[in-house]
Amino acid sequence: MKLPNKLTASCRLSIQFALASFALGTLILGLYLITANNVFAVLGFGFLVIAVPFNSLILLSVFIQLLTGKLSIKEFFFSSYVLLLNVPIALFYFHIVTTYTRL
Amino acid sequence: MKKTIIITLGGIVFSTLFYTQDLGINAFIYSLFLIIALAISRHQILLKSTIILSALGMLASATAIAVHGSAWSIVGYFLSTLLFIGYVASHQTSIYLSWLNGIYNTVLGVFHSFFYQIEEPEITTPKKAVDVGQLVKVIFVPLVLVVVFTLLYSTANPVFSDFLTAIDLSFIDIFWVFTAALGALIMANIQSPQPIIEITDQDINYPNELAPKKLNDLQLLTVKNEKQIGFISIICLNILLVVVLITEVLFITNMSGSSKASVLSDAVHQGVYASIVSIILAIGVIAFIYRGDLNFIKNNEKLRMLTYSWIALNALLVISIFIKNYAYITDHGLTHKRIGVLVYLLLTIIGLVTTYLKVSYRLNFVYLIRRNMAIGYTVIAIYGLINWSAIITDHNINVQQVDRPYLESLLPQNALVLKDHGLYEEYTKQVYRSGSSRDRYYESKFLNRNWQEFNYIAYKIKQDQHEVAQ
Repeated sequence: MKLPNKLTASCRLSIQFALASFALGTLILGLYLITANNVFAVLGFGFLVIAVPFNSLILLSVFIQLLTGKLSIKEFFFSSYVLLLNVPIALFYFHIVTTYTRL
Repeated sequence: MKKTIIITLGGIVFSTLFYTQDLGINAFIYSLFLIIALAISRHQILLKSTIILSALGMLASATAIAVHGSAWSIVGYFLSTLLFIGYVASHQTSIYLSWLNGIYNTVLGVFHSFFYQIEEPEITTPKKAVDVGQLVKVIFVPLVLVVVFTLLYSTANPVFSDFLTAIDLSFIDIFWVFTAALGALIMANIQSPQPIIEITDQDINYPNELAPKKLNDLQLLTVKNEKQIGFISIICLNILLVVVLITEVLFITNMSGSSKASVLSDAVHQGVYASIVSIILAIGVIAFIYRGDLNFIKNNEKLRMLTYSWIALNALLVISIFIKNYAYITDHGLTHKRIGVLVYLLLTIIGLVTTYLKVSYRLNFVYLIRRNMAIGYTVIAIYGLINWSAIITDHNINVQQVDRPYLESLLPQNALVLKDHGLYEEYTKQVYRSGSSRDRYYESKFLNRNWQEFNYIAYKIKQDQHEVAQ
């Protein structure tokens, strides 16, 4: 799998941001599950509080770029899809944490 | 057109089967739908053995979900479904790549043409921006106008106002629609699965056999040195394992029927896991020693014989662990963990056999990964088909080794067995069941299921209760 060479900067940024959010979220969850230390649970929720508005802002900027013609419709769909993919993943992680800690 | 119908139908079927429903017969129906939908877009799937086997695995796991619904049947179902999608994308790939292709298609399938630029990229021009703006205007301006005038007319005309009030749209469940959209997206992703081309091609062209190379003097010397290190290492490991096996024999022969539970528990729980890790490491060491040119140099028969003897000694170690585990089961009954140890032992024996084949037929490390992962998946899929909780309960009651808190924790999978032994009503009180409320068995919730959630155990218990009531 390879990404097309001529992606716009905003499309690349949104993909990178989504991947970074996913990687960091997974890392925090992994550390929490390994250490069972509640510090990582708090860190995870803190990360969520920061990541949600940032991802939303990028999603908004991608939408504006579509409207202003700076982004093709395919790039828009792909960028927003990758960004929104983190929502079910975050919910799934949340489910794991609440199940694991028996909240 | 055909594609649109499949995607739309996929959304409706998905939402109808899964929205606010627990897993039951819905998994089986969705699997059938998936097979039919993919057969329509890819006729050749009916002819390839890997695809047929993975489809059978998916249907069998889905049946197990509808029959007993154990956690392992659900694991088997998801593994089989991803495998099936992966094999439809490329039926010749290794099992691990098929899973990767399955995940790739389920999550990103709709963007495959975008990644590989199969369609000509759309060139963005300022004109397109006007088009989008125009589209937004075309939708929003009439919408705003209609809403404003509707409000005005309903104020001016009481009959029109009554008519508007009479329209009841409460039957539309927005979350049902959302689930259908999600189902349609999943269907759009998998309706025509495509492989990740680069790694799939690489995998298909990668053989299982090692190829001999012409070595220069320096390389030959390095290989001979490796052979010497390998030879001495395996001799030492053979001797060490013989000593360990002697102590194992002493332990087993000194085990009596009245062995203390704590001694057996330590021997099984700590000993078993350490031994299994040692066997896996042994397989790794052998795979490393026989990774390349050492397989083809002359006079390596002694090293081979030593390796075979080490594999055989490891197999004896597996047998000794089996005996200890068997003694533990005989003395203290069955549990999921003890069955799990038996499964580990089975997988370890298979791993040793494939390692023997690797050395014997000069196969590479990829062969080991391919074979062992395929066998591991098969074992998990078959393991998930069996209602182990019922078997454990039946066995422990019959041999009078009842651990009530443990048997309570196996509800509802063992409900029918408990009913057969006349213990169901008593055990459902769950006086010993610990943990949070989500761990508990709620009979009314389990029995009162929709048709999508059909579960054979729930159906039989409900039927029995009706008969008793009549």
